[in-house]
Parts: sequence; C-alpha cells; structure tokens
Amino acid sequence: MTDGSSWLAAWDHADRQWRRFEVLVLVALVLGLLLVALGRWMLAAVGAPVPAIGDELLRAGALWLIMLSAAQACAQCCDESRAKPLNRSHLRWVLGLSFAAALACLLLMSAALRYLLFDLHLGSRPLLGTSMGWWLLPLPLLFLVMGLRLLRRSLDTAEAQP
Amino acid sequence: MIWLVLVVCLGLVGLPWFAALGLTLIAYSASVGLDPLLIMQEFGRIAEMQELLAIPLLLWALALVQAQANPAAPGDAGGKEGPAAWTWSGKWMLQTPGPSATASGSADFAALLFLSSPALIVIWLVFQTVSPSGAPLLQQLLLSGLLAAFCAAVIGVALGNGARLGMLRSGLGRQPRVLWLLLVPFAGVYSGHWPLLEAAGMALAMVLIDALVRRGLDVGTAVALLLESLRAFGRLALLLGLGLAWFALVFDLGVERQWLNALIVHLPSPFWANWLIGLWLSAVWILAAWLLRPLPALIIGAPWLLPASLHSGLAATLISLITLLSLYAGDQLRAAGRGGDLSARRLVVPGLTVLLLLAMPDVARWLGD
Repeated sequence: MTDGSSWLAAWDHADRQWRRFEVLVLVALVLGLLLVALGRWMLAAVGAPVPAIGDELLRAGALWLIMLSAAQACAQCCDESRAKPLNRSHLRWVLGLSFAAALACLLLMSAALRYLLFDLHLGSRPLLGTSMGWWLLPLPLLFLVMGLRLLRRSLDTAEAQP
Repeated sequence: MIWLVLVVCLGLVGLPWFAALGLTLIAYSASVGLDPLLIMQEFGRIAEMQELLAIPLLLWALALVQAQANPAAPGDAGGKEGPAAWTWSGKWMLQTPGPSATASGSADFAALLFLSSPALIVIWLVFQTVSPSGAPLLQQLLLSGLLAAFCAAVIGVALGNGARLGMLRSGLGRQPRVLWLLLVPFAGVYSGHWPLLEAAGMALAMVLIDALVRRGLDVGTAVALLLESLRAFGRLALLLGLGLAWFALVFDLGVERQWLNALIVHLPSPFWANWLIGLWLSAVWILAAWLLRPLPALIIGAPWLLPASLHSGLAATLISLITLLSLYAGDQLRAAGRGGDLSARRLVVPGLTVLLLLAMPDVARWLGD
C-alpha cells in the first residue's frame, strides 16, 4: 500500500468491520438492558431488594450504549453527506465543518483519555483497571472513532474539490 | 456571554451541536487554565441517569408498533398519512429532519405529550441537573403533561383542526391491540407503581412477544428499527452529556445569577410577575427553538432560563410545560418558514395553552401534587 487511495480503501474496510462490531455490541447491550429492566421489575414485584451490581451494570451499559449509538449516528451522517451532491461553495463549507467536528472529537478523545489515566479524585492514579475504568473506556475509544469518521468525511470532500 | 455567543455561532454556521459545545468547552478550559479532563468528568455523569435508558427502549417499542401498523413501509416514519405521533415525538426531539416540516396539528401534539413524551423526560433530567432542589417528580411532570395535551387537543378541535385527530385515530385504530400492550405499562408509570426504566422494558417485551406470536415482523426489520432508534438516542445522549459540562460552565461563570438579578429586581406584584416571567420565558424559548431547533435550544438555554424562572416563583411543573409548548411552537414556526407557509395558526394552540397555564397555574399541578 503505497498510494493514498490504497490507504483510504484500507481505512474504509476497517471502518466497515468496526461498524459490524458496533451493531453486534449494540444489539447485545439493548437485549441486556431489556433483561435488566425486566429483572428489576420482577424483583420489585415480589418485594425483593435490587442488588447493587444491577446499578453498576446499568452505569457501564449506559455509557457503552450512548457512545456506540453516537458513533453509529456519526457514521450515518457521514454516509448521507457522501451521497449528497454538493456545489463548489458547499464543498468548502462541508470540508471546514467536517474538519472542525473531527477536531472537536479528537480533542474530547484526548480529554477522555487523560480522565482515564489521571483521575483527579484518585490523586492522579489511573482509573484504568478499576471497575469505573471499564465503564469509562468507551469515552476515548468512541470519540476517536467518531473523529476518524469525520476526518474521512473531510478527506472525501477535499478530494471532490475541483 | 462570549461563550454563549461562540457556541450559538458555531452551531448556526452548521457545525454539529455536540461539536460546537465541545469546542467551546475546550476553548473555555484553555482560556481559564482548567484541566479539560473536567469536561469528561461531567460528561461521565450521564451514565448515572438511569431514566435516560428508557428512551431507546421506548423508541424501539414505538417504532415496532409503527412498523406493524404500516407493514408496507417499515422504518418509514410516516407513510402516506404523515408521521405517526409517537415516532414523530421522538424525531421532533431528536433533530432528524422531516417530521416538523410535514406534520403539525394539535392532535399530533396531544399524542406528543400523552405518550410519555421523551421530551418531558429530557426536560426533567435537565431540571434535575440545573436545580435539583426545585425539580418536580417525573410522575408529576408526566401527569401535568397529560392535562396540557388534553387542553391542546380540545382547543385544536375547537379551531376546526379535527381532521388531524381523525387521522391519528385511524392510525391508532390499525393496531389497537399492540397499542394497548404499550399503554398498559404506561398506566403503571402514570399511577406511580413502576419506575420508568422497568415500564419501558415491560412495554418493549410485550410488543416483541406480540410480534413474535403473530409473526408480524421479521428480524431484519426489527434490527433496522432498533439501529434507527439507537442513532436517534445517540444524538440526544451525546448532546445531553456535553450539555452537563456546559451547565457546569454556566454555573461556574455565574451568568445565571446575573440574569436573575436583572430579571426580578424591578418586577411588580407576584401575580403580574408570574405573567411577565411566563410570557418572557415562552417568548425566549420560541425564539431559541426557531433559531437553534428545540433540543439544542433546550440544552444551551436551560442553565440560564430554568433556574431564573424557578427562583422568580414560577412552579417547576408550570415552567416545564411552558418550555415544552414554546419549544414546539418555535419548531413549528421554523418548519412553516421553510415551507413558505407562515400561518399564525401554528402558534395558536401552544400559545393559548401557555396563556391558560399562566391564568390558572394550579392546572399544571392537577394530579402531580
């Protein structure tokens, strides 16, 4: 792979694979969420206390669900803008705005990564490895994925510039 | 104020709202020497909001009901009859284009509130964040919303807008069994017996079992609808998550207190103060929704407007209803402007309901208290 188009093709291929992974995890998460909701309802119906592990699971599931859903929405938005024909003046706008959105994602990714590595409440000890670290893991990971998708969109737009 | 101008400008030039909020927050933290990881610390708090998790379950359940009612066009929000009210309520709130441009009418709006509108859940979450002590219970809010929905429907029918009510009834009539399955868990929520997440799980499970037993839906369609619902939820949650960091910034700046001082120092008697603040709140929300669209307007404006209104003496349920109605009106005006039909009728129903609520504030708390 020496020229740019091969790199971009490999990038797109990796993104497609990752999207399949996202869909699988999302379906599993929603079904899991459904089971947790029904389980809590049944426990409440028989008057049994809801175990604390349920709350922890919900917290972890919530963040993964939110970030994976946002990454899917980002991918859909990029697909739609690729399919849309744009005139010259629009191309510049889309290029600039996609790049700015990608920049925002990458900056947020770096903040999230620092949060995982240097949590203030833990006196700069890393959160990674603690139970909280696992449910915070999707923050940097999926901001990175969104940033890369938006970057790819801006590259597409740049290619289309006359 | 410069940060508010910055985020609005970035959004208005076309940057996604979450990116506009993110860039503004990072610029702010860089300018005052704050560690940007505080943004993520605030963002992470979204995982604590368990009620938010009811939204994807509800959206999927409602989409499944819709798909069974219109099997010819699964996934299409409207088909030939325009968007079904429940799908529309999710889409209106979640920023996907289309529904507000094609649908209007009091009956749709009645359903918007009646079906435990996700918008009310978001307003409640915002309230919990910006002013936990003054936030009403979710059940109070839903019950108050129900009454406002009936008012809107009655006013709408009285104004000769009954055709839409008929359309809605015919849409519901197609799948009454599935709809009843969905409404049963809501009875539990409205009566205060079931928490929202559990009820949403129940509703989804019942709709899924019904579809399975009657073989009314194939797995591919169900997964496609799930993904569509989740994408809508992802947009909402991303915005709300960064909104939490935005709320922290606003409180840090103390802007909310400046607004308060400017607002309530020279107000006349409490009765007229309520009227003035209610109308002012409504006007600002209409303008904000027209300019920014409802959800970004809610996230960006809430830390200023909600605490200021609350401290001025307006009841939380009343503020929530005025907020919802005015956001709806602003969105309708925006849609009308784009379609070239600037009819004042689009403002009549929410406008009259706001006036009714201001004239009889106890109406807003009819069963909630």
